[in-house]
Amino acid sequence: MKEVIFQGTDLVKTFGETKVLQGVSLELYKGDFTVIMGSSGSGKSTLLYMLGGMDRLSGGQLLYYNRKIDMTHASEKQLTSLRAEEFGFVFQRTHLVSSLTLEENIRMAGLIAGSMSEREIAEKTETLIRQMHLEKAKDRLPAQVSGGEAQRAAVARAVITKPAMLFADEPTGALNKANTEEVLNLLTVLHTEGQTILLVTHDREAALRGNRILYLEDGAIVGELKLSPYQGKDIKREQELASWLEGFRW
Amino acid sequence: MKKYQMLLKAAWKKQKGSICGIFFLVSVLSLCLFSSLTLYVSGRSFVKKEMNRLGFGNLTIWVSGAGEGLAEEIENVSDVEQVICQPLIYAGYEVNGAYSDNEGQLIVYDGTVPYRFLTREGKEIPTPQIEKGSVYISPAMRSVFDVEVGNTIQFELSRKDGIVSLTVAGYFADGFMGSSMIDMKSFLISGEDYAAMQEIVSHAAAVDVLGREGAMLHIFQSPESSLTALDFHRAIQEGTDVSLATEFSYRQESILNYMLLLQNILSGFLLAFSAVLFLVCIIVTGNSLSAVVEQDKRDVAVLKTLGMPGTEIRNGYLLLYGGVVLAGLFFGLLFAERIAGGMARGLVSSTGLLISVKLPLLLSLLLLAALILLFAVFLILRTGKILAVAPMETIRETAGGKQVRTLIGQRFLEWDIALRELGFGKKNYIALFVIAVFLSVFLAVIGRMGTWLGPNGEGLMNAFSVANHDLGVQPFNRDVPMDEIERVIEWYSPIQETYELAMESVTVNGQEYEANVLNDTNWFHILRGRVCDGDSILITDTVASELQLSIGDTVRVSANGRVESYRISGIYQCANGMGSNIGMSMEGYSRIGDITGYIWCYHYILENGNMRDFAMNYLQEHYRGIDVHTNSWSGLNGIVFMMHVLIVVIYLIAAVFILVSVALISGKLLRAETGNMAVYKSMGLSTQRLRLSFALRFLIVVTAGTFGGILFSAVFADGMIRRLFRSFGIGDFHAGVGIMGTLLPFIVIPVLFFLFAWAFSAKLKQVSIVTLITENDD
Repeated sequence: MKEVIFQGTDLVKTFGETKVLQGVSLELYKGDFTVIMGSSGSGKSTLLYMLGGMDRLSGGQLLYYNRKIDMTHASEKQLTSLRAEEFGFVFQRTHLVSSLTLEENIRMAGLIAGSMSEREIAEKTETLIRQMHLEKAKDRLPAQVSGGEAQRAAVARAVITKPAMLFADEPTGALNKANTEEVLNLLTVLHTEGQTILLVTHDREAALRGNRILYLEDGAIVGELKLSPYQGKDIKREQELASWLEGFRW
Repeated sequence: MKKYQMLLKAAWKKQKGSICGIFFLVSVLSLCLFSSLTLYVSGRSFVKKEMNRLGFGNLTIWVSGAGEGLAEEIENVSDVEQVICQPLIYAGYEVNGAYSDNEGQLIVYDGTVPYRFLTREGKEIPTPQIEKGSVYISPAMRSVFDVEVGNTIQFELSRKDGIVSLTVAGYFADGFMGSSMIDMKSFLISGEDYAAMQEIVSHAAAVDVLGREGAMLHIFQSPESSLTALDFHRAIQEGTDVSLATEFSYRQESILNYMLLLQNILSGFLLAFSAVLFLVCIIVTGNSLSAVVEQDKRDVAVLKTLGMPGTEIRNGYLLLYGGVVLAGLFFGLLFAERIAGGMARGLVSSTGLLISVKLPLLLSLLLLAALILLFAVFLILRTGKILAVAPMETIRETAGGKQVRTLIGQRFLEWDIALRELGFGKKNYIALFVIAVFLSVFLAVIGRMGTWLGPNGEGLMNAFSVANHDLGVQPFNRDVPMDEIERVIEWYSPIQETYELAMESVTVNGQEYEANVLNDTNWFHILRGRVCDGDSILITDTVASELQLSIGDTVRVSANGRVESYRISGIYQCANGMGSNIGMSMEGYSRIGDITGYIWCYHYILENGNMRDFAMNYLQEHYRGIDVHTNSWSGLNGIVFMMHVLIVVIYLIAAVFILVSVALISGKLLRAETGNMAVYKSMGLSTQRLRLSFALRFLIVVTAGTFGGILFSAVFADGMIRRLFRSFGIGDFHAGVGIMGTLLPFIVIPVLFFLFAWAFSAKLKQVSIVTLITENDD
């Protein structure tokens, strides 16, 4: 029996008159690489930001089990603390702090969380830089490196605090093929090491890295597919996903 | 035209915060500038007109005894057109327990001189009938003696049954001596009281008489006369015997300066402050405009790809911002007269009359045109960037930046982030730095003046007095027991030092001045050269410039019909009579004057100077035949009060300016850093910590700017103020490090910037990270 990290019931999010999430109910489990797919405007990014405590839900109940928090009613302080200590984020645009070097961007996340000593943070940063192959780029500003390097740094920044959940919103959306592969490989490695991941994507290749796929349509989950863990190119898995997606006219 | 309308509408929607802020800043600048200008110009012309209306000539000489004979004699001088004699009685007086430093001048009100009568607030009322036993006074006496209608003023005419009490019935506008800066005061009384006083003075025994009859001689220079004011005065003195009866004399111009001293201090400082505000306006407008241009760069590029020429796009911006600046300037101009009127009403107790203000139209329009021109040039230069926007390059442009190395640690994370962002975006903070420099220089200058002035006006006391002292006692006859008086003083505080001073009228090269004669010349405040001896004199900077003299020159000094030559040994400071005085040694003066009479005033330095007022009050109450005074004078309170008001007003205006500047600059910075802020937030940095880090940037930059400004003022301010003070006869100025000139601006300016930045960064709290991040997404 997998441990539940998030349990959402009837999650609703409205922007003015527009109802983006229309009563989503879901559970996310520890150790899973969950992928949310859906067409543009289906509400998948909104769902990710709600789960990540970046924005507030308009209705429903969302429980985060590690802290026993109902995120629908959590204070701003609680949400800030969750973002700092429990969650990591990777965005489509890298969203690194433009005035910090890649190394400083990674280290900054550790400093903000405040759960490790400066020495531990420095060591962890060093390890991640090596792991992400950023040795040459680490002292450069985000504007001075390639998109792939910046996104790898963003992944390193997201995981430096060993988050309970890594949220990734279209992390390969702005990358070329080679860089996309690199970033996806990184996520796979992290998942293999036990990192729980929630990925939002409309890229079939990216979705194949997950072991659980949820399909969102008009603000509601309309399908779920369980896949075996990713272990390299696997035609069977690809076909399974493709035929499942065909059901949604993908 | 339609496209301009669309552009302006879109720009207004997006930039209404900046536009309103700029409008506000320019309005405050315009109000401050035009109202102080209105007050300055109106004050001068109004008092001059009032003096003419009341019949004061180019020169007024106060004489003792009947003045009619002298008036006739003066009228025979070729350059004199007319002399009007206005009889009066000189008498010392006491109000609410305070004694006058100078004699009052009691004038009978018979309607021949058209005095204006006023309410407490300075509003004109119909001419009243002055009843027996009542007196009308200048409203300035309220600030000097705290006197109100219904209080009693006791005039001392004779030691023996010669104290006449009159009740204050109201106020009148005295265009010549009404200001609180002038100790001589006129009192309008009834004909019956005047006659009774004449009776007392004429029948009192010589040893008892305190008051005396005299007159004001209003002398008008003939229109054909080409003599300067100085030469005109000299011609009258040389051509008549008036100097033998002269008590004192004033040229119209010098009394005008006295009358308007406080008002000129206020309007002068506000005018100078307007210059600082103008610079701040330019900086903030420029900063705001460049932020808008930067923000709209993509839109500009898109418009250019659609074929709209850069000049037309720029014209849109010029129209909008030029329009706002114009509106602000005109708004200020519109209300300047009303504000100046309010200021004039507030100054009634200082100026002694309600200045009727009128916007100096021509001067204001010229100034307005100059301001419009300066703003226009500035806006054209600032919008030049729009022409340089290359369409596709801009659309494709990605953010860059220069790498900065600063430490980032856990302990002071907010501070470290602030420093990094500062280093990274230093261009954005230059405006803030420059504003801090300008404001701190100005506030430091005014603070230094406040420090120099001291809580009780000590700075001015020393500048206006011949030599430092706590207490001065002048006996008028041999019956005064000076030994006993000194023992009384020592009850209050041991006497540390003592010297003697006499103030006598002399002429230097034919020009009348007051000679300050000391038995110990080391007490003079020497600015340059050496102290004087029996063959030499000291002059002030004012005398030096009036008579074109310098150290080493020889002058002819005369008094009592005797003339001697003296060498000028040095320049000394004594702003008394706007610096129209000279310093002499007792030995030197003895060559032309009688030093054995009761001319000497004994000056005492007390071990405990705080006891001087107690000693003075005791002596005034218990001894007759003496004049007791401290180093202060009645008008001083007015100046100290005015200075404090000025400091408060200027700090308030500065605070408002800081508020609006921070609103505009922080808006720009927050816009520029939206992305980074969102990222920090997504990493779990709380809004509070982000706000602190944001406000800290303001604190760091402004502290640096303020430090620079204060350093600048420490080096240059004293020199600048000294130059300004010379025009008031004060030759030296040194403030040093003080709370008001150094500490106050150094704390207040950065703290205000920090607090306002903190307040405006509250926007960060309201915007969700998702919005911030998606806003920053392409």
